Amino acid sequence: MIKRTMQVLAVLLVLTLAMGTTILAVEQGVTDDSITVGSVGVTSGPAAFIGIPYYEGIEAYFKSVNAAEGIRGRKIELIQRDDEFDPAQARDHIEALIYDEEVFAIVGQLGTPGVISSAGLVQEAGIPSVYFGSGAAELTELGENFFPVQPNYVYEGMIMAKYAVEHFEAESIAVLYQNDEVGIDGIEGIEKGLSEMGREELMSDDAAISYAPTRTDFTAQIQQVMVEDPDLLFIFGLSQTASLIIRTMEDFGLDIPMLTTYSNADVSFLDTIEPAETAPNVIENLHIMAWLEVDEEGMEPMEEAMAEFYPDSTINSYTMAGWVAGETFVAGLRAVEGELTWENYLVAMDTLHFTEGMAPEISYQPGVREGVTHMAVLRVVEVNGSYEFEQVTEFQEF
Amino acid sequence: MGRIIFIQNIIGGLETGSLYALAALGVVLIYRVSDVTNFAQGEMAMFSTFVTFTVWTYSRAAGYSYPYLIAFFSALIFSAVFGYLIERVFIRPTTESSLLGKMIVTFGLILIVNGSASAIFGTDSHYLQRAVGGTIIISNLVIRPHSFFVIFLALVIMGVLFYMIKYTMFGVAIRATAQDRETARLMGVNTIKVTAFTWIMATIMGAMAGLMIAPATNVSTGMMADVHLKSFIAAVLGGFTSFVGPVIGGLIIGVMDNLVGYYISTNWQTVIVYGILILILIFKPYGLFGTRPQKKV
Repeated sequence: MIKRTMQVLAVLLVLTLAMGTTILAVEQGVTDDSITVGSVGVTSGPAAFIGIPYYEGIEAYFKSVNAAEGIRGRKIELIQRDDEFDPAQARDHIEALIYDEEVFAIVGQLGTPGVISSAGLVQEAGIPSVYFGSGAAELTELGENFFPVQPNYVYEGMIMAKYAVEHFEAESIAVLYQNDEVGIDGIEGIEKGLSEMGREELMSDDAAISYAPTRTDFTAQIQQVMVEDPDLLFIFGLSQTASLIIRTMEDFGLDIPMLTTYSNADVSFLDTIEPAETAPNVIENLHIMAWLEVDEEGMEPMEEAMAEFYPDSTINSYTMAGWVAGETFVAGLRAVEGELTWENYLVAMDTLHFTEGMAPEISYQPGVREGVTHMAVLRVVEVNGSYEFEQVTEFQEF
Repeated sequence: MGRIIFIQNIIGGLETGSLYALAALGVVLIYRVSDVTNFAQGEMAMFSTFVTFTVWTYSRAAGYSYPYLIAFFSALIFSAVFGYLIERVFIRPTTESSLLGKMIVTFGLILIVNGSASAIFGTDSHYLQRAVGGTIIISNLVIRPHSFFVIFLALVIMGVLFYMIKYTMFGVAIRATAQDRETARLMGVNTIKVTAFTWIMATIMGAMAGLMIAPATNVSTGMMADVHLKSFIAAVLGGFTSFVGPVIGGLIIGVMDNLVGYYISTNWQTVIVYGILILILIFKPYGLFGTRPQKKV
């Protein structure tokens, strides 16, 4: 009797261990019918105009994938947390997503301050983190589990310098840059680009002019630009201050070509300027970098998904960015061979070469995390009383 | 050229400084009556500005003749009601609370007003026109008439407050309430009305400040963040117990900011300006025009 009982217990023990092994083999956030991912970004407060359409873009893509059977029978579920553009909140949310919610991956974390503040947690956990709504250059150097997509600001600065020489044929350049991660990376890239082209003489030390991101009065800065009298002005700052700079240029009659970062490449940026009333003379001198190359056919899947899942929302470049975040993450999922684990996902992403999405090309190699490297220049044009963007160069690499 | 640039930076500084001054006056008024520093003054101004923007947008869409004027006066009416409600619902019940408690209430108001504005008006950033449009160029100097209107408005409000407090019976009631609420009440001063009226006036001033500031910042839930902080600094620099002080303090900050930015460094602009302000406060701890607070007996 005792022997029989021992045999039953032994069988139960083996079964339990086998089940345990099976459970351990499945990665966190993954079940038989779902893959749960997390994201943190601003959806309330002054910067919510970026986050709301951005997350609609991600959700619309995931919902369209789920509607088409998901990924190998698994539906993707997104847990999104609002950090109110506060890096401390971003860090707390990322920690909770990794260790409490146990998500499989972080997808599309939005906002440079939050991304940077929580990067250490992501690095330590080794969790895949795909697409950042940020152009911070250090994301390219944080490790094998980081997969940035948007061009980083250092690279963007370099390619802006290239366009200054080749497209604008500028003999002198001035830069107004926001004195934070965005602008400092930007000015570093511009200097690096000019240096690599052997054209450092285009920008004097005095022509690199900083400003605080909360600034509202640009009199001193614009005076300095006027003294430099450049052929081209780079504005390396986000929409709020960039719009005020453009208005101030109109007030001072500073009518020269301007080139600003891709972060402003959206009509909502033009809406904040209200060009017809505040900058009618200078607005058509405004040029903006772009990294998404989409024709009408390429827009169709997103437009259809948005019409189905967010019929009342307007599609803008932030929606498109969110859609690309979803596309990139799912491209990695589709490329996984074997069980869906972090290790297998990282292997799949490490050699990803994805060209079927909205971005011209997303590819990674072991140790290489540059993201998108092809960019073009757009120009603001007036069409029937309203303003929109027109592409004026081809997409090029530095 | 050098002289033009110097004067241009001063003009620009006066323009921006007058915005800080305008924003500071409402804070100082409430402080003088109740010793309470209203940290929510900026958020209340933002909310009133959103109301103005909404009225302005609808008036323009409806084709009314003077949409800005309609919006301006709507803002005054709304902010009067808004100020009264804030005082009645949030401030009056805390009459017997400590000063610290009252100030914590105003911190709470920041969250309530900002959250309500986001929920009601959304989180987008909107353009609002200047009160006086256009620019004037005189001898290569760029002058924005709107800015002179703001300076004028700040001076008028300062003058009215100064006159009212010093020469009217209501001013006497305000001073008596500020000095000792209980004794003032025993002497027949309706301290409840006095307090309510000061909140109404401060909220109206906040609305006007918001309207004047919006063309420089756009209308958004975060529009007052930086201006509000600098208006506090202007009030501290000029003296919290004075109406002239915050105006002078605001103008000093605006001008010094531009001159340091142009002639010294845009990178170190903020550090240098506020470093100098701290130095001033070391020598004038109650501000340039402030007086040492008298202990109430």
